[in-house]
Amino acid sequence: MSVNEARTVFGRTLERARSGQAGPEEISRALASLDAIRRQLDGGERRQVELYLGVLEDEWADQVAAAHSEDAPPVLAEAQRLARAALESGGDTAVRLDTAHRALSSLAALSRGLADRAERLAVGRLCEPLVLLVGKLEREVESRREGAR
Amino acid sequence: MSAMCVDLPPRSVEGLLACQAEVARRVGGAGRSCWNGQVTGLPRPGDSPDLLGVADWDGTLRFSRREVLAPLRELLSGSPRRGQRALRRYKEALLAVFHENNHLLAPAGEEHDTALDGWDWAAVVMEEGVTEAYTSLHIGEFIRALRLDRLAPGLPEVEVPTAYPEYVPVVVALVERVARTSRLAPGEVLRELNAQTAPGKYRRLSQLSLAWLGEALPAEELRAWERGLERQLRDVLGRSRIFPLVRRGRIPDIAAMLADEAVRVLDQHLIGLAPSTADADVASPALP
Repeated sequence: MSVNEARTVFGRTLERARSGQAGPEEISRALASLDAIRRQLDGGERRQVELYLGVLEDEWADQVAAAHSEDAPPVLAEAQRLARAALESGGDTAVRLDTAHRALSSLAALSRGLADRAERLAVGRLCEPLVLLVGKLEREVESRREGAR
Repeated sequence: MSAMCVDLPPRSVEGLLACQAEVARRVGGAGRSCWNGQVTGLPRPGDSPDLLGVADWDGTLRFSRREVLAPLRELLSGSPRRGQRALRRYKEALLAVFHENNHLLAPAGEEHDTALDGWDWAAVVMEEGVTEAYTSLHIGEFIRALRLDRLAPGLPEVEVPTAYPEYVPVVVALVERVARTSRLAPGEVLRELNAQTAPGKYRRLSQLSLAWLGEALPAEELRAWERGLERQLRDVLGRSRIFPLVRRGRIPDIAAMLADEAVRVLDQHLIGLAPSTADADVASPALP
């Protein structure tokens, strides 16, 4: 097993995936092969294979999503996108806090626009981890202020 | 709001709230509940009107006035409504109470807010998945322990949809796989995870996954494998970004794919470990 084999698996799978010939299962098998190769390498070669893995993992997620995107419910999909984006936002604490607040406001607006109670509660549930994120970031802001005093 | 738990079944919402944390701790078999004795209503300004509950970092429980506290007040009024619809509403409210209390469980000496540092998407998927899986399996026990079935016969049995269908299947799949390697019952693995803080859930899952090694590896090496597995599982669960594009009816299929992926990573890790134990010139345990 070598980085060359990894490159071959990666190149072939990526090409097939992007031309619509490889579905999620084939990509998943390629990921398993690459992961096995990665375990046998170290240093720069290992990092190279990790890059391949990262690209193919994205491809896998995109393929899975694309397979179902045409019948996705826009409102719940949007709610999940907002929640995840806010949870994964990086950078300055104040900016992250602002992003989280805005996501919560958007989720509240989405929820108000839903007629189905089960869907409203599903959106409400997505707010739970975000409320905790806001609490965490507010604590960070507060402790920085106290540190600056 | 903090009072003594004196009556079971409770005679008021306040009485119920006084008892919920200790009853949830017992049902969960946890070392402690990190509830600080405070309960407040939702929504607060800026909150979604449909947010059911939050177990806040300081141990405060927050519940929806409309969807949780009002139905419970009705249930405990002395003349609760009859019929399936009313029972479902009461049970949904109690699910929210039990769910939030399960978030607050921790081993003795640990704090709920240890999850503050690593509160990312992977943490959310594991925390909500374990909590909801345990809550939906044991809600009947929670209701009976509070003796609320005496006030509303049929309450433990009435069916209500569970929350987080995106995250529960991956947790259930991992629990079942780990149960096989650890030789514990799946219910016991789930209970162990539910009784941990959010970061503790990944740690405990990794420990249980590799517990079959016994003393085949030096402690330090075993810790390193556990940490490696923890990182890989976080990567997989963090990949649930595919869910935003998935129709609700298709979530079970996609959740099952994610579950397969998580189990595959776990198996790869165990397979990777086997040669290492052989090289170490110790009895190489058979891969479970």
